[in-house]
Amino acid sequence: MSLGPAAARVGHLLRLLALVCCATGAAQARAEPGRAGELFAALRPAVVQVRVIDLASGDKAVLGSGFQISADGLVATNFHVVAEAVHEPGRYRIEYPGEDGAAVALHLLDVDVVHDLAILRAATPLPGVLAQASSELSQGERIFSMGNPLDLAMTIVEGNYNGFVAGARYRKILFSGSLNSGMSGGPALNQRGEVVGINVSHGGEQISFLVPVSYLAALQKKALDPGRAGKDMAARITEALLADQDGYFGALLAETWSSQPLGHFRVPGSLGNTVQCWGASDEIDEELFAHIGQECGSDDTVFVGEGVETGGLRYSFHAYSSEDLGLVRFYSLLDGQYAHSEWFADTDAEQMGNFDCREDFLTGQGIEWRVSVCARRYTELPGIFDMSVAMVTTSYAQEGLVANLALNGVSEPRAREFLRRFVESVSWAP
Amino acid sequence: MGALMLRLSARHGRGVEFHRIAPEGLSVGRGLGNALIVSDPYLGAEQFRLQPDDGTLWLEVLDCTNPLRVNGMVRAQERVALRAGDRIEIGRSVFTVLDAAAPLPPALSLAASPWERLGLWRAPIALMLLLLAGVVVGGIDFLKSTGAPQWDELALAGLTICSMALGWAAFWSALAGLLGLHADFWVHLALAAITGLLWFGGMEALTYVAYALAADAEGFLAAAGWLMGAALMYLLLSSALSLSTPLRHPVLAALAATAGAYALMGLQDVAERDDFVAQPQPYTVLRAPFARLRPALDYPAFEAEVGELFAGLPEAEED
Repeated sequence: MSLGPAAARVGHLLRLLALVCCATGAAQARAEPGRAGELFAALRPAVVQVRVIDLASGDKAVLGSGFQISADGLVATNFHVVAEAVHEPGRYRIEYPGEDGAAVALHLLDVDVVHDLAILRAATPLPGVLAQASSELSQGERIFSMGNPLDLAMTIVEGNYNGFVAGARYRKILFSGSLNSGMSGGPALNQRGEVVGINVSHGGEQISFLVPVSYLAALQKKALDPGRAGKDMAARITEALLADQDGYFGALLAETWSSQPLGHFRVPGSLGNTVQCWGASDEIDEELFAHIGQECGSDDTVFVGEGVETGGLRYSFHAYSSEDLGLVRFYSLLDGQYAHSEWFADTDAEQMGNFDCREDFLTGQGIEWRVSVCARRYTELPGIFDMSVAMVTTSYAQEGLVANLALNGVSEPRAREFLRRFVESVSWAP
Repeated sequence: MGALMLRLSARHGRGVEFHRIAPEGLSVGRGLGNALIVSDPYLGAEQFRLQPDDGTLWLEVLDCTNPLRVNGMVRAQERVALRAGDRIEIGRSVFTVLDAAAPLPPALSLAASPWERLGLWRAPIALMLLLLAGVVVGGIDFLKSTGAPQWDELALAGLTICSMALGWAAFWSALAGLLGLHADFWVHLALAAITGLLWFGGMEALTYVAYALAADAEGFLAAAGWLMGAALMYLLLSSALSLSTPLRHPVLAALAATAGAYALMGLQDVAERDDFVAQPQPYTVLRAPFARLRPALDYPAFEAEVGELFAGLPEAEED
């Protein structure tokens, strides 16, 4: 559709204005700064570098960015920027460098661990406040991100809004622009300079992610609720994680699971739209067996602290069959495959208890299994567990199915419900 | 009483000598002036004298530096009447009085050990045992493979166990040779081959037993493997020591050595049991269905086990 006469007249006027601007600009021998430059100049006073300082050495331990969201000094950033100070308040303090370079204290007010947000209160409010956008963005719309990458300087980056990440468990804006370490917690702005999201992570060249601003608005409202003041941070984090896991696994369990063939077995395929499955079959000429594999999972995890993430869900099915290997050799083959998968993040004894396991034979859906179940606790998150399951069929002479399941950061009831459903979801379909 | 003989043997070892006791007597000691010179450091220069007198053989103990026992009783500077079959012990040496006219009692026969009775068959038997060990190890490897047989790899697995056994036998017979003792390469080789067979075949058998009987096959295997390893090490080491060394109590020595080593390993196991491991232990056991003896649980029973697992999880350590 054409712009029409009225639009043409406005366009002409704009061109004239632009020419005037260019004329004055040329007199100063300087290029026009563009929208990014204008936004930077106007909003710079509301954006700061957030520093987490190691009290023992007095040096910075973590750097990120933040911005003021209210005139009385509320500053928003990412949870992961201040996570160390949240978990060990006695070892760290949080501050920002004031205009004169002097450090100004920031006090932790509240966190949303699931969406990676934190709100801090500045001892001295910043001179500017950023407004939060209320209107929706349209695909391809130009947006701007501010922050201090790699401790270099405060910068502004242009990019495009590309909607929400498909199949993500936690809603994230796909920002086709370049975010770098240190920009975490900085604001992403629309053309009017309103906050549309919070910088959170990057996934590759020109692939970055933003937390939608609506979660920040919700956290801000919650943070000021007087009923929440008495709760310590660990309790708030545990509560939020349990509610999130409960909601997520509850929704998965409420669904009807799809069923697809894998060799002579039927197994569940992907669950919901957050779990992706990949084919993992291989054919090796020298081997006397056939193998069909499927590996599924959601890698959308919640960062809780160094080495602690929750929310991972992975499972896999590998079907083996052979007419040439005898019974003993075929089960030797299955014995080699029947093992727990190493799907858990490397962590340490400070964060996690040790795994404990149980192994036994189980009959389910007419199939006999050898099953090993392992579980462990999270040190600082009571009621949250990791569970790993390895299963192998023992019913058939020339066919076997090895199944693995790993749940990350889940409550015991949900883990047990999920396991039951997982066992029930496999059937023999010769 | 007719003519008497004296049989001299080392307390541990296989060398045996026979000496006729002349009517004028027989002096025994480390000194060169004796009629019977025994190079045992525990004997005195002139340790004792045997004197036939009017149908009786008298023992005169001449040196009391080290205790001399006759049939287990310590005797010091006295005359003791001896009869055929009496046993004199001092230091590393054992003397037995024999009747020259009577046949040698079986207990003192040189071919006392069943192994020694095999004579020339010893070498082929040891080699057959070695071959059997190699075949068993190669066979176990074959059962664990999932492709067409790779003969070179299977042969290599068998050869590895054979070369280990050969090395073990060579070491102990060389050690015995160096110490001037009876050094039978074949007996050491047979021992090593039997141990290899028991170890590899035994571990495989244990895995089946664990799978058939134990809910927690891994724990069962760890305990059973440890015990079997300790027992085999003890048997092998104590036999090798008693065959090859002049130690007074090789069995005790071997026991002490192996018990010490295994106690250390056990302590290390216990110490590492609580070490943090980021991933669930990947080791589980599966064997062919015919090996299964435990009935499978139905879901409620299995879920109760999972419930126990969660309830029993160790509390994480707080700083």
